[in-house]
Amino acid sequence: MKAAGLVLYKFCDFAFLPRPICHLSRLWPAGPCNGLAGSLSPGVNSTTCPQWPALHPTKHRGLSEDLDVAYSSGDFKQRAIQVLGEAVRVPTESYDDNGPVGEDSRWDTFAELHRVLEASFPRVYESLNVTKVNTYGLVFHWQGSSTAKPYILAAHQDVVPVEGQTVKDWKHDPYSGYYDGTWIWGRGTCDDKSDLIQQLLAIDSLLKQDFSPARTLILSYGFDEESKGTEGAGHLARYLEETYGRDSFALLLDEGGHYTDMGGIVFAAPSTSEKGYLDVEITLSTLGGHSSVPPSHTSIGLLSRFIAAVEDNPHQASLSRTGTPFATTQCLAAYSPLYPDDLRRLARQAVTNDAALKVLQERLLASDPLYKAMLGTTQAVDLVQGGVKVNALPERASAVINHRIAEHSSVGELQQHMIDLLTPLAAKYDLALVAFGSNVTYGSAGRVVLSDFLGTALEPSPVTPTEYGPWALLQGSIKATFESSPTRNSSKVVVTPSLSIGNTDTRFYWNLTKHIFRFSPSFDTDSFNGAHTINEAFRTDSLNEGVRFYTKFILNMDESDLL
Amino acid sequence: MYSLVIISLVLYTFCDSAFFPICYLPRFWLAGHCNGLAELLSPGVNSTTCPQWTALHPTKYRGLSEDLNVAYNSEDFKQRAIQALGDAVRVPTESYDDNGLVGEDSRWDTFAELHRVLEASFPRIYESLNVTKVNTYGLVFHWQGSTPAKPYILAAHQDVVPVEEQTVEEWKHDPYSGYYDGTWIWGRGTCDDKGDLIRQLLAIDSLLKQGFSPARTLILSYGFDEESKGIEGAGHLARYLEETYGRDSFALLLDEGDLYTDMGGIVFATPSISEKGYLDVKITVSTLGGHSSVPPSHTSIGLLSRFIAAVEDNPHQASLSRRGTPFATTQCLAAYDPAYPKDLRKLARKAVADDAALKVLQERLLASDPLYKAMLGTTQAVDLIEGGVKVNALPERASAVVNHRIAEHSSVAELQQHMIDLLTPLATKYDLALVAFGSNMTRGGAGQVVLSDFLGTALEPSPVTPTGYGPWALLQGSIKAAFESSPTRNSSKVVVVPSLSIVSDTQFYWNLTKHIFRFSPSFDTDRFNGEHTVNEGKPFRADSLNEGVRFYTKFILNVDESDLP
Repeated sequence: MKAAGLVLYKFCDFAFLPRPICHLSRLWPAGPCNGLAGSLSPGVNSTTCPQWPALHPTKHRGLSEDLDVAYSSGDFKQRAIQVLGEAVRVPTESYDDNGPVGEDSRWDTFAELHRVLEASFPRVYESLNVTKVNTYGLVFHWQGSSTAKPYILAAHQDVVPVEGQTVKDWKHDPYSGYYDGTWIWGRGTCDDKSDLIQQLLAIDSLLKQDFSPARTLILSYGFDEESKGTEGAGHLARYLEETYGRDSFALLLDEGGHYTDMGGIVFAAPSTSEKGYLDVEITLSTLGGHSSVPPSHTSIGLLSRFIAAVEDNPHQASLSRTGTPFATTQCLAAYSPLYPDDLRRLARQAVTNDAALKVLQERLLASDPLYKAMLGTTQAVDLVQGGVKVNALPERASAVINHRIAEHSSVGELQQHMIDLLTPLAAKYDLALVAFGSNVTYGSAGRVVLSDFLGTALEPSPVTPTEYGPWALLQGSIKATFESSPTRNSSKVVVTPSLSIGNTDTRFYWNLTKHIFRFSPSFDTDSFNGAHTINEAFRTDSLNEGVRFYTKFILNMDESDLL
Repeated sequence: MYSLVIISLVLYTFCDSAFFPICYLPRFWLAGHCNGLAELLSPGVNSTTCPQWTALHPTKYRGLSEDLNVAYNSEDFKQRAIQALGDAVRVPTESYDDNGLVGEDSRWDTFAELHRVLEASFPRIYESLNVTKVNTYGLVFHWQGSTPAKPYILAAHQDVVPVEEQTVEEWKHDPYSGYYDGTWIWGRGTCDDKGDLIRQLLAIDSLLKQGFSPARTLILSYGFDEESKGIEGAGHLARYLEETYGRDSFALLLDEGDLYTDMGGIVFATPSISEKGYLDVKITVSTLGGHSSVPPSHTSIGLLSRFIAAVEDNPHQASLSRRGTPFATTQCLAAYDPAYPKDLRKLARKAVADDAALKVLQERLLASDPLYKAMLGTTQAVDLIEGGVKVNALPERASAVVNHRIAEHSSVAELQQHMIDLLTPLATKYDLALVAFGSNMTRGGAGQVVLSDFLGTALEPSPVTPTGYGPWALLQGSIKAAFESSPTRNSSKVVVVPSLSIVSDTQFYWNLTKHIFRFSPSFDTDRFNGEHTVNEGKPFRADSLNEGVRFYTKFILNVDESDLP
């Protein structure tokens, strides 16, 4: 069996913090393809990958169908292109080194975006309560008539900065919002102004039809998702928790995984958990001096041994039945026509058979490097620097190891792994070891310090339950939207939970609800060239499909008895 | 066995650049009861293992020499010397690593001002000697002799290490003040190397004033970028001198270098007769980049780390060869240094003929002090590393630079081959293509590792100046004469020891003569405070000025009188 990997990067990921939201490994039989024999059709339910039926609004069935029609009109399409283009024309770049709001004037551009949004959606601004949090964070409160728990749709207003020297490589100016008949061009068309605009278009359309919600809906739009997130979602989360209370929302839906076509079957892969994050900086300090009378080891030489020790001791990957990757694997095994038959059988056996689980794990790990990332904590030595002159002994050398922490692990476990691994080495070279603020060993030849590089440690997210309510409602809404689409020929979609390797603004929202989903209602192929790079562009046909999804999702939520 | 506390004494000349120790002599210090003097020779007694010629006083010019001795002790002369050095120091002739070509980079223009100052300070010299400017700011003074005897060269350099702006406030006196506080003259360049340059000119000026006219032609060669690349200054000067006077056309060359130092009451002078070689090997590992969230087992930084560890785990062998300069230095210390441990002294003596003793001596020396590793072998130090651009992107490139000082007995090519032999198996193990110094060595599919000469500064170890005959004896004798006739040294003696230098300042002049010496006639204690401090800014003890002028005077007179071929 030969395997080829398919990484579905959400087109809303960063250039440098690439966040493949949806990792689905495509297993490809090398011989003649007869793989359709064993896979279930999307319309058939599976015990290992439960598929709820499409959920169409019932109370608001007429409204939903009317809007389906309206969204297919040329007028609506033109309006959608217009409002997305206008939002894109405001270059709301967020920089890694931005200062606090009010001090750094580079944030001021967000005021212009607010003016554009208010001009595009006067109805929304009239009917909903708009609160500005930390000046540029936007909270829209749409009061419901019942006391049902409110819910949140989230998106972010900011975009990845366009690097000056790349502007000439764009087919159309990155802030033109130019529509060429198929694509809308510009930074933010995919990531994430399309989600934001599609949500507002759905709400505006519902308002126009005089819809008035039973369940309160909150929109929460951050403005520095692409940099630190603290100024936007960080403040928004605090505001929402203070205003509505801890665990006070029925669910939260933010940007995330997409639709993708695998061998003729479409999969939607909302992410139900995110890996954790820790950048460990290793800093070696020794005496400097003249390079002409050198010691046996310089700080750089010592650092090299620590780096090699880290790489020589990778974290164990493990396929646990309680983990999200296991659920994703079961869904692919059940429904992907490209899945090799023997692996499909193995996956099925692995549900109860421990030996089969072990074999499956090994087979998956051998098939594609993606599985190492899905099943365990990964490490990558991404930065190193040391020394100032070629003829002076370096007094300091440091490296940074980027970690994505497995769903089943924790920051503490990773730190302990580093300490256990590196303490003997520090002792061998007579170095004092200070790890994450604590003295671990003493030594006289120098010092090695382990620290959280930029203070960005993040635990793996809580895992959103998929056994009940909110997941079924999301699944049903996706299926209803997809199956009623005028362009999809009534084809079916399989909805599979997934683990996200990158992080979204949702990392600030954990206190608000257990039910956090990360999903953007478009195809991977609706993006011209991905996000965070040149030639970001969004397929306009996808706009009304997205609005249809948000509409059905809102109506379903409103009708539901979710707690 | 004796109980031994070893204190390393590194004698940095006050003319070194910030990072280069010129002279390495380990000082052995007996912690216990000291009875080590048994077989110690007094500096006045000659040794078969460290021949000491007698002091060489000018004979033909004995009167002139003695008259000048008196003149140099006068307050007038001292004031004039302080003034001339101060004036030269007040011109900030900084040379930068990134200086462009002369004529293109205006930062060189400051040297024109130094030339004006020199001409104003030494009008007699500018009148009597032919002055040629090479590459605009290189200075060649030609003092025509009356005989066809081979000419000789005194060298120095006009430039100074730049003063880092943020350190200016930490200087006791402005770095370009040339301020005299009654003991010290302050400012960048007082030691390195305007002290040598001014003292040479003062000696010549004094000789001129006395009506001296040389038999042997004397050339002064003053570069102006010794502290950076050397190419614009000494590089052009060497070419000019070779073209004008011919290859191997000089009797000897004396440039800045090692100093006097007092060891246990005995003074040693340690002119350097050879210089180690130099090679910065850059190791660059390139692999595919990508997203850090789905990383491979090894990033380019991880792979580079293994190459670095392999280099450090395989240091070069140090070896004490009887033919090498460190062996000669060791014999001199063993014979004359009162602080030298007695058993080591015996061992050194035996090692002259006994191979087993040589081996034991080598091990003992290497164990005694890290300095010996530098003296006896090629050293390596991983001094630079960089790789990666962002914390969440896989690094496509990572590189490190290993700084090497090549042993006297080795070569650039031997070092390169060592690196290739060492790293090829590692490249193969990780499926990396290896390109070493321009040649493809192995192929690989996972990436590439390139070995290269970092800034193209490779340098072979220098030729070793002979100490068996003529020029060395003349230098030794002149040092002894200058020292022993000093009014301030109480007629104490000096031992003159050949030494190996770790830097290379005379690299451009190798074609001009086999007899290259590196020596500055001052005590290590003539400079203020240690190096690497701000005030290393290197004030210069004013008393040392006339001592140095006396040395240059006797040296000039001795060479002039000699029959050196």
